[in-house]
Amino acid sequence: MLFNSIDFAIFLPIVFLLYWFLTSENLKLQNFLIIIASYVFYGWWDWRFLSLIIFSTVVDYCVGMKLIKQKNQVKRKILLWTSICVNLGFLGFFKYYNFFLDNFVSAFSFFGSEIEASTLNIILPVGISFYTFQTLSYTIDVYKRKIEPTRDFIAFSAFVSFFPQLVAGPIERATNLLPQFYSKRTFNYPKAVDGMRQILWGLFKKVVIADNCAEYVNQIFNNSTDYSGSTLALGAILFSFQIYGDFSGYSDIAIGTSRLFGFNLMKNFAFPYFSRDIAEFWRRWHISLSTWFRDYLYIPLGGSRGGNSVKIRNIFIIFIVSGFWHGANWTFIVWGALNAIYFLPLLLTSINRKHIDVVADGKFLPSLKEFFLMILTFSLTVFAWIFFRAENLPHAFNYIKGIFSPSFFTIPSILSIKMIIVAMFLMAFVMIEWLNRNKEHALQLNNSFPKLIRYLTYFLLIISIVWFRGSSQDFIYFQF
Amino acid sequence: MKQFIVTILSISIVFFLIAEILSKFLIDPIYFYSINTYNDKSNNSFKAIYRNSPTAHADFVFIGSSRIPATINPTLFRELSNGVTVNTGTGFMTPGIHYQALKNKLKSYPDYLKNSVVLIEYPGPDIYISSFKEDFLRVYEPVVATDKSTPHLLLPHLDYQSFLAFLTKSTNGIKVKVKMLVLLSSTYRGCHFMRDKFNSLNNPLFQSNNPKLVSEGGIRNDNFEFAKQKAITVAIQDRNKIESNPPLSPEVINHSSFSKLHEIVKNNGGTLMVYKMPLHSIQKDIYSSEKAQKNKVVFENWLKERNIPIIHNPDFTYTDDDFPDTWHLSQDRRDEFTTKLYDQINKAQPRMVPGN
Repeated sequence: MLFNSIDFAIFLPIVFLLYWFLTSENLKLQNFLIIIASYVFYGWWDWRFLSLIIFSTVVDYCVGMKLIKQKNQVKRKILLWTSICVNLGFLGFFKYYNFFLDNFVSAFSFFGSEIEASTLNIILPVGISFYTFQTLSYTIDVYKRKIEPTRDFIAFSAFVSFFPQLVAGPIERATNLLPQFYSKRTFNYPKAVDGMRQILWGLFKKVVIADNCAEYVNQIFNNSTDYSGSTLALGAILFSFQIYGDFSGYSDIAIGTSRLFGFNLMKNFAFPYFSRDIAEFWRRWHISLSTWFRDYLYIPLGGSRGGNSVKIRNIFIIFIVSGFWHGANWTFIVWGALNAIYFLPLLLTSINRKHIDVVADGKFLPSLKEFFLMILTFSLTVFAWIFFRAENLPHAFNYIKGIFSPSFFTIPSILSIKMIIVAMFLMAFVMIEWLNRNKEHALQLNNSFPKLIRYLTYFLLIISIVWFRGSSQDFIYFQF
Repeated sequence: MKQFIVTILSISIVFFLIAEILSKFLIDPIYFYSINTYNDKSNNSFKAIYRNSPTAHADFVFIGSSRIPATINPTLFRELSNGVTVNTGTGFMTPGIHYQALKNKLKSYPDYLKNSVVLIEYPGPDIYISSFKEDFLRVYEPVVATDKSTPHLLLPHLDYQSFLAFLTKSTNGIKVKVKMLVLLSSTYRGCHFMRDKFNSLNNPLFQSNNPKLVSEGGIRNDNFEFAKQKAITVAIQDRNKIESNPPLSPEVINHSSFSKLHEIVKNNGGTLMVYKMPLHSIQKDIYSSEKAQKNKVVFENWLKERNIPIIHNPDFTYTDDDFPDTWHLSQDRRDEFTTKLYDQINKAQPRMVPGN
């Protein structure tokens, strides 16, 4: 079920009313309702793949239970690896089987041996990368004794399948989300109202910003050989806004929806395009995934301790794995490697934590230096996104070649009145995000704002969503 | 909790009411004007649109599909004929909608068709020959997955009674009827209209050459590949339909929407003609089978018996290259076709043309 569909608009109030009116007195029943709602939400797309979630849930619950009793370190390790193999096994099969097979065959052909292997027609289950990582974090934390394993199967199932963040995150940690299923939730009016605002802002980002950009992006990337350098550059910039609007919009709706049900999910985006260097960008972009890799891969590998060679190795591993997590394509791997290359100079010169605070905090405008750094970081990001969006590596290289051609200095050929309106929306969007960059989300209007302004803002956003929405597109991150 | 629900409901209701009122007064007049093709649009000022002042009489009414705006320039036709020219040709219009529109128009303006010439496009003998009983009040439902149903095209032509008749008697499915019910909301109509307008603003600003197709009557001039694919799909469907249906007979035509349109035109003082539509070879091929040729003879005999002239346009020659999307005549050739067709109508029925 898509957040921006009529189905969800009907589904959400029904679940909300049942949750607070019918089951609020009984915690187990409330958690059970969440499981049912989550399975309906997921099954709406393809009910057959519910079996994967259920299997994953059962395996990790059982592994957790066994880990409580098991004192023998070897046996504990075996249990941990059982969970890792089952979860990553599913992920590997559904997401990477064909990729590895193709590359295996190509490698043999390169060395002169022709082998025959047929790829499988595999459907990628929606959100498999997200819930797999979420359940893995539970088992690893239990193994490391960071949390007590749960005995409550209902709460654990609800934690794994919690519908607002099931298919595209934020990837929650058991340490944050699981305890919230143990305690009674009470309805909090200001929190729910703010959740509604966040949902509204997320919808705006998705259907007005991302979907409108997507129309141009698809047109330009799918016919890249027909366009001038300036149009291709515009296409790459629009994709940067598309992917941000799409993914952070989804996260906003997920976090806002969770707040309606009394849950707090972790922040997933913190205005990443206002970053002054790539390190800051990665602290603000897809935070739940970055921190996951940091905690479960980077730090166990040694992190930034050790010599330069270790640091370089670890940075490349974490970025390449992160790229590969996004999809079984060399484009994602190159995208990850490119970000590692951006990141390394900062790490090696120990300035990767230079920009921790919010840019131009307490000021209306950034300094010239801050502005220049933000533009530079944005440009590097845009360049990397070309690999992320391209169909394959030759497509990406030709696209870049097309940008750096004399036609870069011509007027983009796709400019239209609609495009100008979309550009105005983008400017308004950037301005609102800039003005609220130190808040949890850009529409966090507190009561100090006059009521009239607040309601007018809501009204204008709703009007924009229904009048100026782009042609409906799936959320990009569903495919990951 | 209750306060939250009450707040959300109150905000929703107030927003909806504001949107409904604003849409009613600011968007509806333009919305209805834009979809009511039975008005002469070449001569309507913005003020007139806003006052919703409809055309009370038409000298020439063109009825058919989106191929009509591709072949007829109503402004030019008006200049040539010095008569009010109404171009109702739009994609996704059905014979049921055309019939309702004429009926509704004549109810308000009994002289709408008096001494006028009504021209129905004639691509082949399958034009509007489906059963009137089934077509009556029927709106378009998708034949390819990318299309949408179009109850809104019937909306400006519905009075209360016809609306009830649509809900109870139309052969359309329940989803289409629900969509029609939702269309009663000005807010919904407004959203529909604004989205269409927003998307229509996508023509490049710095385009050196003219677009190959007119952007009227639902013609898509942004994606020829899509249109070509659809043209092939629909041509196959149409051809199969001709082959699977029983052979055309005068009896079938007597009960068809075409016959009903003829009847309503004739009974209200107008003259019906059909004009031969230039076709791409993919479209021509629909009518190339033996059965289609036999149907053609039956159809043309039926026309002849009722003195309905077929206007050919022999001076207008064309090739497949003149159809950029394989469906519609290119914009470059439109004025030429319009002028030559006008000459042919003038030759066929000089007394019918105002000024003669």
